[in-house]
Amino acid sequence: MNNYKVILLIEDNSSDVDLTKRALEKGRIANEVVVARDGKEALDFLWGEGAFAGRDVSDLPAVTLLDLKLPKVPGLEVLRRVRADARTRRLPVVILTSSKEEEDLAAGYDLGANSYIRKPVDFKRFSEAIEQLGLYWLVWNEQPPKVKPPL
Amino acid sequence: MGFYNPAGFFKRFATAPYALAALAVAAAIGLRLAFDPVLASYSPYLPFVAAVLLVARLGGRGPALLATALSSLSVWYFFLEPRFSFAISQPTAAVGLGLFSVIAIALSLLEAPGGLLSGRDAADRLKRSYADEIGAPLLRRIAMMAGGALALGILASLLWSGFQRSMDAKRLVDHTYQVLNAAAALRSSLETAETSQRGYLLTANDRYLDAYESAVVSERRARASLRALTVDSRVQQARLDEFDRLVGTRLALLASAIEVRRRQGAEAAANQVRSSGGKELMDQLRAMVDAVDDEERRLLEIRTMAARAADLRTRWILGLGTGSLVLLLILAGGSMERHIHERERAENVLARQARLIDLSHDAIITADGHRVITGWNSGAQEMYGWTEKEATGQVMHELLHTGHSIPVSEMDRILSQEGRWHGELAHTRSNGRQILVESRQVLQRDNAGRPAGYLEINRDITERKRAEEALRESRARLEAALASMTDAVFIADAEGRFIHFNDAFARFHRFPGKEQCSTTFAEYPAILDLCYADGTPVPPEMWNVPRALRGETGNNVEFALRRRDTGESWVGSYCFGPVRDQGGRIVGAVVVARDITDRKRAEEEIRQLNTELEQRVRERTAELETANRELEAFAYSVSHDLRAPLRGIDGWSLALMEDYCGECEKLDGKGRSYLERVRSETQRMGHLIDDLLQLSRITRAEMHRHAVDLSATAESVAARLRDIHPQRCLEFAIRPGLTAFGDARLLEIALTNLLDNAVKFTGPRAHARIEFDTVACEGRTAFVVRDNGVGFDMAYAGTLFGAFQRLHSDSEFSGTGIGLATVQRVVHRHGGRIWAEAAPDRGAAFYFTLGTET
Repeated sequence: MNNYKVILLIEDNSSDVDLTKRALEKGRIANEVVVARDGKEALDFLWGEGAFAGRDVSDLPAVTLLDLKLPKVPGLEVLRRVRADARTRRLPVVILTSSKEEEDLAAGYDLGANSYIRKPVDFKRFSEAIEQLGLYWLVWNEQPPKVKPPL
Repeated sequence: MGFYNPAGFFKRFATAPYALAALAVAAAIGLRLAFDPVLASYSPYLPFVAAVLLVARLGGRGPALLATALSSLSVWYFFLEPRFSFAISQPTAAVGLGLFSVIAIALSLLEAPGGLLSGRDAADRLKRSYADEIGAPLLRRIAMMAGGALALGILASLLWSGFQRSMDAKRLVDHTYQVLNAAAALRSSLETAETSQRGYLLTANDRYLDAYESAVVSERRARASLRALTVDSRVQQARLDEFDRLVGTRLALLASAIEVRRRQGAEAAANQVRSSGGKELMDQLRAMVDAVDDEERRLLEIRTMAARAADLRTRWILGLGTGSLVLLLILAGGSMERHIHERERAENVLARQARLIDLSHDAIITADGHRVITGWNSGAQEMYGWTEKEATGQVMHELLHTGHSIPVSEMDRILSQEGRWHGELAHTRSNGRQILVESRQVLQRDNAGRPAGYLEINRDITERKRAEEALRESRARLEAALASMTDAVFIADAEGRFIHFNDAFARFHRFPGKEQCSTTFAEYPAILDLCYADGTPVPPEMWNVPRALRGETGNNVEFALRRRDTGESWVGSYCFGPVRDQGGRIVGAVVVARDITDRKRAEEEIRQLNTELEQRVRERTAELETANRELEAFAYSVSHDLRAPLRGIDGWSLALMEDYCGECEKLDGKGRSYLERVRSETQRMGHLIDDLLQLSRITRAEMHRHAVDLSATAESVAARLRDIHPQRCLEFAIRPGLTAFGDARLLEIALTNLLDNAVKFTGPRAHARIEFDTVACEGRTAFVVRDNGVGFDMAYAGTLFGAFQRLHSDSEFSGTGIGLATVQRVVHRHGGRIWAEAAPDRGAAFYFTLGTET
């Protein structure tokens, strides 16, 4: 059933987008990857707003890969808003970033990130990480129950 | 100690007891003679024993012995038979006399109080001195005694002549009796001759003739005796001449009658007797003898009366004399007792004074006119070290090497003019030490006014002088110290009078000089206004002096002062406190004041400067903070944005390798190796960025200081390194228990870098040994990480800790050149210091200290 779930990749660097997609492919993860190029777009997608108006917001992505350094709405702000909204409160969010700053780590976890992964420069290790990550979140991890829409 | 010399007075005084001895013996003689009629020559000794006892008790041994001698002689002369001569008729009397003498001598020796008037002890010497003082009245007493003795002599001579006369009268009476006896004997022998003759005439018995003959002889003897006895009486002699003639006739008649009887018979004889008238003759003779007898009886009567009168007179004299003697003795004894009493009292006083003199620590010395020492008390012995024996007889100034403060002649002049002198002298003790004495001297003169001696009392004032000197010096020091002080110092007594103040005091209070200063506290409220820092006036009772006198102390108490006259104002800083005596009572106050006007101004300037500086610092800090924020943002971009392309380069290189190498062979081995090189450089760049980020983070990171167990940190780092390099043989020698006060995370980074370096540079060693320890360095503890690796040339040590500085090529040891820079940054942030010691191929040691140690 998870096979139908999308993976939301919030990343502004197209090279990183492509490399991530490639790594997922290499890991034989066939789920659709929805890419949001900035925080605003990501939130629009999750809440069915803007370009994504009318989307069933109860259909949460299987996992969201969140970069922190984003145009418009920064990653941590995106996370804060996601967790603040009842509909997306239970969304699995994995922070995937170049930053190793302690503050970022701490803020990420404080805001309710489910995981924090630093992108290594060595792409081999990056692909491995993505592979493991996809496997874990899409296969092993039990999805959160849907949030009932308010009456 | 030997004080006063025996004075001449005493010699005269000393004879008094001997006079007493003579007096007592004379009294005994008188007393005994008074009892002579009763006792005759019995018990002549009793009064003399009493006399000797009395003299021994009152006068001492010598006078008692004299009394003994006088008594023996008197008894011998007056009372032993034959009396009134030094002959002795009976041996027992001689034995008695000897016995008396022995007993009396024994009494003298035993009974004498042993030096009441004589002796050699101190009391005796005192007596002599006492004699000096009271000799004159005693002399009068002795004169009285001499008068008494004269009276006694007169009495004795009167007695003597009385006795003599009495004896003569008695002798005359005896003579008369002898004459009477002789006359009676004459008459009796005449009658015996006549009776015997008659008997013969009647009986012609020759027996009567014999009686007749003997009667004639005794009549002749009696007549001769009578003549001899009456030789001094012419009347009697004349009578005896007539008597002789008649007796001759009568005897011739008797003889012729006897002749007639013998030849012619009784009848013729009777006739003859009848015719011769013998009876008449005999009657005549009897009458003559009676006349003699009568004459003598008359004389006897006269003489007996005369003898009685003489006897009576003698007894009167004796009685009166003895009575007056006893009276005299009682008086003399009483006077003597009184005198002894007084003397004992005086002796006690003098003995006390003598002990007092010896109690004195002062040297009390007497000397004669030539300053030869005659007396030396124990104080002198103490002071000079010479004993009395050693000092006596020495010349004063020679013994003590006297040093005079004034010329000796001047001292002698004062002594001779004024009789006394006092001043200071230098003397030398027996041990050679010099002492300073305060001397008082008195000159004594004899009766002629010549200097007879010196009395001297010396007190050791060496210590006092030294103390005075020390006090003067300390006073001078105090004055000098006070004068040299720039702070105003003043010391007030309990009444607020300033007893000490210095020049700075005058300057402080804006007086022109020390002499113009007001010197009592009470004057100052009129001169000055004193205010607290906020401008409220200080009431006078809260000024420093009254507060100090109440026992308060103050330190750096600041007041603003203003001269009321000139209006000049300044700021003073005061320290004050009470001055207490040994009992803790407050006797004064000491105040130190400093003019801090300039300092206050400077402080104000500094305060302003500080304010400005703080403002500037704030601005600068804000600028810095901005810069820091920018730097942070920059570092963030670096970490994020620089890594993204790198990751892209690496990712796409790998994609190229994966997709175009292998089976398809679109890229040959060379191309593949180039791609490998691209990837390796990319990764190196990644490391560089990471290290740079760490360095910048360390610089910016907030410090959280705690006690850190460095040994444990090093152990965990070592364990990690062992895991990373499982193929290496690594020996870590980490001293346990090393701790530091600092930021645990930063210190771990530093230790990680150092140990990692050590592991890296011991790579060529089969056995790597890495130590973490401490060493003492310049009094502090330095931590050290030491290895046995390849080391380096100390010539390059200066560049060791700069970022991107490497001493080895990348082909030898890979690295970014940022590790040691990071360590240095950590150490510096802890306020410490880092340095290295190494030699090529001989290992390296990195030392560091941390600002705060625990």
